[in-house]
Order: sequence, then C-alpha cells, then structure tokens
Amino acid sequence: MYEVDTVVEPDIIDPAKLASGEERIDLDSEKFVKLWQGPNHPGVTGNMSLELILNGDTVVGCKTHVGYLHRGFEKLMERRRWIQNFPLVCRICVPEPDFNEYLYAAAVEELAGIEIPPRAKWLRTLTLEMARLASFLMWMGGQAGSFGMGTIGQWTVTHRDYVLDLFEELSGGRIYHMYIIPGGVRADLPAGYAERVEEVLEKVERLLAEIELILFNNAVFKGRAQGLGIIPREIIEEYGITGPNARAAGVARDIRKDQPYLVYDQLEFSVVTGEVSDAYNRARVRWQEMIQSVDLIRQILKKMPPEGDIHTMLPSVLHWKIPAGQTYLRAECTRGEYGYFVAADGTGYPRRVCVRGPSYTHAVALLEKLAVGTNISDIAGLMVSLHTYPPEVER
Amino acid sequence: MANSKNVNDRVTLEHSRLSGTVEEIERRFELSDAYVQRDSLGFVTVQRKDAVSLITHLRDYLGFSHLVMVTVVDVIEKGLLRLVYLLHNYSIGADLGVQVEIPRGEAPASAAEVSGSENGNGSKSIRPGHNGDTLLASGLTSGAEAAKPAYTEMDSIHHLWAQAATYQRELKEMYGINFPGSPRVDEEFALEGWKDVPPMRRDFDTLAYSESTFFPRPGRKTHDPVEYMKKNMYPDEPDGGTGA
Repeated sequence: MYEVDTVVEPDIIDPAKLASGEERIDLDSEKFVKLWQGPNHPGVTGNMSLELILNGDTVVGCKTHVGYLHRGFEKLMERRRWIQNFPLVCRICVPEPDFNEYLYAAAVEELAGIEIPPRAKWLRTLTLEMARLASFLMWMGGQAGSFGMGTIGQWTVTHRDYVLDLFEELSGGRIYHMYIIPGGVRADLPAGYAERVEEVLEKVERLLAEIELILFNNAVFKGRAQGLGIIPREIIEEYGITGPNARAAGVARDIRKDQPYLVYDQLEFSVVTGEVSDAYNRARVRWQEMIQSVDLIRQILKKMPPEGDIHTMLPSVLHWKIPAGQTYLRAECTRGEYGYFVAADGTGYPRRVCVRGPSYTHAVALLEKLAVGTNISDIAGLMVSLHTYPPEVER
Repeated sequence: MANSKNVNDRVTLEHSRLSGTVEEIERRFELSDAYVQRDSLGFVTVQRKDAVSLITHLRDYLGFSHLVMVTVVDVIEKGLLRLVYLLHNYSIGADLGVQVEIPRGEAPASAAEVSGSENGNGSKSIRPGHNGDTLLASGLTSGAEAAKPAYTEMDSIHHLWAQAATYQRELKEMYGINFPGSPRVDEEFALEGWKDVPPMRRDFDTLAYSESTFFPRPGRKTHDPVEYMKKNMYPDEPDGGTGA
C-alpha cells in the first residue's frame, strides 16, 4: 500500500474558450494529454485509431487515422477483368459483403445492358436482408460491449452465426459469399431452406425481445447512451449523413423506399425514424430495423416466384468487353448509403471503380466533430454508435 | 450480349427527371457535355473556372444538397484527370455528376529531384528507396508534417460540405491533386510515408513497386509434378518407383 500525498486536480479548460479561440491546445502547457485509442479496440469496430487530445477526462480534439486495412481494392480492380473483380469486391466489407457484390454486379449489368431474371432479383433481396440482419447482430454486440455488457455480445454473435450457417448452406461461404454474380445469382435455394430460415428468424425474434428488456431498459445503458453524440438535424446534409444515424434524427430517408431497387417496391415496410439522434436512439432505430428485416425476409420467402431462372445466359466471362460509359448505383446498407461508381472504357477491364461507404463521412468528419466534448470513457460507445467500418473508408 | 438491351437508349435527357435542372444550369453556365445514363442519373461537364459556382448553385438553388462522393477518373491517354462531383437531389430522387477535366500535371520539381529516374511508362518516379534516406537527405521529412507533392490542383469545396475535405485529402494522396485551402489536405490519409507517384494514377507501376519494395516469399516455386513426386515418394529408387 502507498499513500498519495497530494491529488493534483486537472486544470479544466472551458470548452467554450477553446471553441472561440480564447484558449488554445498547447501540449507543452501540461493542461492536455494526447492519447491514441486504437487501432485495436475491445469491440467490434474494425482497425482505426483516434488521436485524442484530453483536458481532464474530456476530449477536446479528435483526429481519425485510417489506413491499417488499406489493400488498394480500387486499384486492384482496374487491373483485373470484369469477372475477376466479382470475388474481390465482397472483401471490402467483412460484416456486410453482399452489398458490394450486389452493387458491382448491378453496375456491370447496367453498363452492359444485361437484364436479370425475376427470381434472381428476389434471391438477391433475400441475401441483402439476411446480410442486414447479420451485420446488425454483430453491431449490437459491439454496442453493448462498449458499455461493458459483454454477455449481449455473446448472444448476438451466436445468433449471427445462425445466419451465417444459412449463408454457408446457400453459397458455400460464411463470411464472403460470392453469391451475387453479374447476370444473376450462383445457386438456387436448397430444399427445405425456407423452413430453416424461419427457425433462425424465430430465434432472432426471441433474442430481440430479450435485448429490449436487458439493453434498452438497462439503467447503465440509458444513463450512458442517452444524450451521447447527438447529431443535430441541421448538419445531416453538411456531413452527408445517411442511414440510421440520420433516421434517428427524424430524417425519413431510406433508399429502399425512395429509390427502390431489386424487389423492394413489392415489399411492405415503413421507414423507421427517431426524434433525437443520440447513441440510445440510434441503437433503438437499428433494433427496430432488425425486427423489420425479419419481417421482410418472411415477405420475400412468401412472395418469391416458386421457380424460374436464376441467371441470364451470357457469353464467356473471360471475353467480356463492357461498352464505354459510367454509372453510380446505391443501396441502403445497415450503416447508410453504400454506392458504387463504375466507369468503363470499352475494354475488358474497368477504367475506374470507386466505392462510397457510409463510414467515409461517419467515421472521419462526423466522428471528429462529435468526439469533442465527450468523456473519454464514452468514446468507444460513440464510435460504435455511429456504426463505423474502416475498410470502406480506405478501400 | 444475350438477353441484353441498351439501357442508354431508353431515356433521353429531355425526358428524364433531370431535364429541368440541366435546362436551368445551361442558361447560366457553359456546359461542354450533358447526358443521362438513366432517368435518375446524369452527367454534365464544365470548365474548372465554373465548377465551384455551378456546384454552389446546384446546392443552394436546385436542391442538390447531398454530396454523394468526389472521385477521379484518370484519362491518361488525353493527359487529363476527370473529377466527378456526384450530387443528389432528394426531392426529385436524382443524381447529377458534375465533371471537371483538369490537366494531369507533371511531377513537382522537388519530388523529381529525389530520384530523377524514369519508369517504364516514361513518367518520373520519385521513389526514394526502401528506407527513404534519399528523401530525408533532400530536406523533406516523413510523417504527417510532410506536404505531399501535388502534380496539379483544383478548387476546394470544403466550405460547401464539411465532408468534402476528407475526399480532397484522399485525392491529394491518391492522385496528386492539391486543393489549396482545404483543411488538413497535406496530412496523410490511408498511406504512411508514401513518397512515390500517387498510387491511383494509372502510370504508377504496381509490379515494379512491389518487386522493388517486397522481397520474394520462399515456397512459391512451381515444380514439375512428375519429377517432384518421384523425388519425394521414391527418393532411393533411380527409376522413381516405376520399375523401368
């Protein structure tokens, strides 16, 4: 045991003075500490580091550093044939690879003028909604874990694995499915698949009911998440905020509704919104979207044509030459607007592929803004509440 | 292709939901090109001098309030970089890509001095070697403080959207386009200590870079399967176990 002679109180600076420029951040003044958080985090956040400047316990400056997962996907794609990129794109986003597969395939199809069979559209929608569920389950574990509730993470990751079992049965892959291929999908549903999907959906519904009780009615979660990282409605467009982060602020925008793709115009659902976009309400919106996703999967399995082609007849994939042109396609992923800009120059290779991930702004410009004024112990919770995913920033 | 139809033939600019927008901006700005890819996506091309004014007009008066992305296509055969500012209008549900073509530019003198060598494409390489000694000796410093060499420049739009600064910072690193005045534009983004040709430019030689940067990994040798099996399975038998 030892005794502490004196307790040095930190010299707390009024944040308003920092904002107005009356006080400035000077590390030599001994009033500030620079702390690096990450790139490895005890949560499901991906590898990204935050360079934080602290005054006492309060963050007064934040810079996001990415690059730990940069593998040059966009450059690689320019040197590979159109079809060779099909197994590559899914690797840009681990928790939700299917949106990359869909958007790349859809962009190629639009530029080449390929029409896909109706059943392939339903199967694509099915996998996108299953991917949404899997991604949200993973996120829910990270969000609860960042506030010290590790058990919820174990439950949700287990249930994500049930969804991955379904993906494995359908595509052969658990994480990277390589299922949505230009021209359609790779395989039809196995016999009895719909029943097994229903079993998993029932398990997920029971889990979501538990989460309602144990997370959203938890005093610790309420106390820490309510009021954390409030996104003012007026910065939604300035910062390009999309998805649940914007919807929690009452902005009723969902690409599935506003610009329906695949078969979303044949499904019944409403846009989930909140009133104030803080960490608690963002979690609430995502939780409601998980329930909605369960319902959408059931609708898809019910409404899908029982049989039909799943792939269009196409010439040899190794000899494709896509006509010159460029396009941009978007889809609503769990984090917001996911988009692919694809430019073709008439050769067998893409001229340019640019991936627009929602984390590009959520994890950099927005996080850097919201972190200021936050207590250091809540930074991890804030980061997860924006549902950031670094690989889609650096590609 | 089989079962194909030409998407571009289906919609013309006049009959798309962007017709009003393009008509309006044509009255105010000189467009060198305007076309639609589909009903809800079109592209216009303007000169650099009009670009920021046009983008501001689209944001403030025509409802294109969402900056979807800023990207670049390297048109190396024409010596151009084509910037694409993709803007979205929520009320009409359409995207407009504002394209601006700027010259690719030359390697900056300070960077060219570092190596002076030429790669296979005739462009100057500024690779300093594995440890960057040459670069450090030339007075530049590594890390976030070192200003990245810019080959060309474009006007910044960070005052219109806060998130634009991130795109511009990335484009400086990946394409060597400077955006004077853009916050933290000189700071590193995804790369660390990169001093070579901006890697997303098409004349960046990826094979030469990887051969000069990384060592060949052992164990990646192609064996003749017949000889390999003979040697491993029947090492003591000169006939390789065939009895011949």
